[in-house]
Amino acid sequence: MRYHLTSGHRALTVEATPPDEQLTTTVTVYSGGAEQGAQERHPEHLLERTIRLEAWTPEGIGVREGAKVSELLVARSAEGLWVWCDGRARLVRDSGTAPLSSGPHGAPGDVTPPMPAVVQEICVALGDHVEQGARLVVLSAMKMETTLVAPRPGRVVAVNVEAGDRVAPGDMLVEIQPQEAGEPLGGENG
Amino acid sequence: MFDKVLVANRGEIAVRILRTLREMGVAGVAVHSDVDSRALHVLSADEAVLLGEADPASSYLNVERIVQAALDTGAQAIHPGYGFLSENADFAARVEEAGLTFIGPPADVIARLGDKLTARRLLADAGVAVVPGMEVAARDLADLARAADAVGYPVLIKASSGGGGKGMRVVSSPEELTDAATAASSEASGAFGDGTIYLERYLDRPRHVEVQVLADSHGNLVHLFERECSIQRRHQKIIEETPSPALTPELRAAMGEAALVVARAAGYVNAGTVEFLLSPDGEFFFLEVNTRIQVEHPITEVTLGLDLVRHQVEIAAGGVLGLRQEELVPRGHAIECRIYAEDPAAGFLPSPGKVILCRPASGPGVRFDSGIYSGVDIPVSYDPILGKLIVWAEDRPAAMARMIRALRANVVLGVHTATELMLDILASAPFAEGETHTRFVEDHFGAWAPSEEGDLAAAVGYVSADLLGLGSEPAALGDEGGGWPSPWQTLGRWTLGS
Repeated sequence: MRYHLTSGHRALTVEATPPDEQLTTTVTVYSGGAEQGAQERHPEHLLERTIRLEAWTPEGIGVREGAKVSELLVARSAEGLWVWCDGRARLVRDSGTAPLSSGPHGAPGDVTPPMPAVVQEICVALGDHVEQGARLVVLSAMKMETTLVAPRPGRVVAVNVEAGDRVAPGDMLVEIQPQEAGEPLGGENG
Repeated sequence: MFDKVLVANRGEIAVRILRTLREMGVAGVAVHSDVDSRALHVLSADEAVLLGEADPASSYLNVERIVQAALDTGAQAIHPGYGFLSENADFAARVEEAGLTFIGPPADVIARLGDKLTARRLLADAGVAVVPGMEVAARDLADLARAADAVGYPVLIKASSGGGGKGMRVVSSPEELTDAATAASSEASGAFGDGTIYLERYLDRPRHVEVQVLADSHGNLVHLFERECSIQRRHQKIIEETPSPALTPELRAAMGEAALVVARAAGYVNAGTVEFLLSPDGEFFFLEVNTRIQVEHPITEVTLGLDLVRHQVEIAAGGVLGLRQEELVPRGHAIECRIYAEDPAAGFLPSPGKVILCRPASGPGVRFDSGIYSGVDIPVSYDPILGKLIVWAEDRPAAMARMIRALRANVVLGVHTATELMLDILASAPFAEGETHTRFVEDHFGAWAPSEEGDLAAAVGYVSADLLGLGSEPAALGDEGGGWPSPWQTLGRWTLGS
């Protein structure tokens, strides 16, 4: 079986032989994701392990490698699978089901929060012309303030939230119509 | 002694206080906001009162609702924990005015020490060294510029009612002064409703060392030795230890004595912490007094074998402090690692969400004070602290090894934490050598990133879970738990099929 994964911020391709009756499998990890055709271009693998798997609890996996034994813990969330291995936690996403380009930070240029937050202040109004870097929305999460700024110059064509709203990554808070070269700045309302 | 005490806080500190109340046979009342109705502190209490909406102003900062909740439930005292209303003199006064007892120092003491400039003057008069700087608020920019020239650059601009790094700016040259002062004042104004600023000399790479004190209302006063809190990010502590690897017995005695002078000068009652900056050449300066229980209080508890919260409650009830300074001898070494919902790979951005799996470390010398359990939501409205891992061992190397063992086993999944970074810090040579200062993380771990090894191990984990059927989507039961397919239902996939 072949998996194209993002582990932390790293794109990896993993091949696993079908487990035998002992649930023994050989797992080989290559650098790079699906789109690069990784293992063809980087045939050197990063890791190869032959391991025997045991389901210990609904979230715990016993991993045996010869006499060596270790434990993995997993937890499924909407964004992917969290894996705990010896003090290191990673959110692992299957690139097949969750393409990198639509990760939690949205496409470049979208005005969307980097984390769940509460809207503190809206700094622009519908129809405003904004320069790149202009303050659009002030967010507050866990006592820390973050300001979202205009990713490009343009006109505010939608303000989808109000102060006090709870927002999450992927929500479009403010929509900006990019200003085309040569386009006059004034809209229908001046 | 009180029959019933209300805890005006949430999270790990509320849980921790409620545990002691239960041990004392005192009923505990929790208060909570609407998003916290299933929080661990509510489950740890005998009674719980809903205050209002998630917004702190409607709930944990809502003075009238909290006082009313205490009156309605028949609580005789209020423990404020840390943060929220804990250092709010008006709240302490309001509690007393309602005929209740505030578990903390008297309101006027909180007011005196809460204003940093007032505290600086008070302690300079008592003969305690303060960081060289202004003794009165800056009236204008010219005032600041004159003071900066007098103490010498770099200087640190601070808000008089500041805290948590807000309203603070380091200024290294006269040209930067105007911008920094304007920004600091406006930030302080927004955060504390008071834009008063002053400046003092900026100490490069000092250690942050604080001394715990306990005082009763009968004039008995002891210090409980130091905590070294130099390992910080965003001006907030993440790793603390005691004893400090930087103190000689002479310095320890001198700082303990200075803390007692501070507490006496302020008329202190209850538990408090006197914070100092310690320069690389062993000079120490008074920084501020925290008039509440501190986040890092457990490391003092485990080296002295005391329950500080129990002492707080007993002192507030008018009890006599039974501790004698000469009998207090710390034993061994303790370290605390704070577990926050934050992503160290993304500038320590908060990481709210749901803790899907929590399996705390245990074993000899390990304590996990937390406010979480598997399935609990971490709201965006509050501080991102999830818990504190505390270890005790006979000496510092053994405590470091124990903390590394414990961190590796302290499973928290569903939100990011800095566990891996703290493991790397504990395993580093500068930490082992005790070379801790307030810029330690920036200097040694500024370019830190999660390890490739961890990424690979997690990818193998993903595949393993998938092969065992553990990685499948939760069953359609909604996301409120119960979504796990049993491995016994899903395991047959490969054994039968291949």
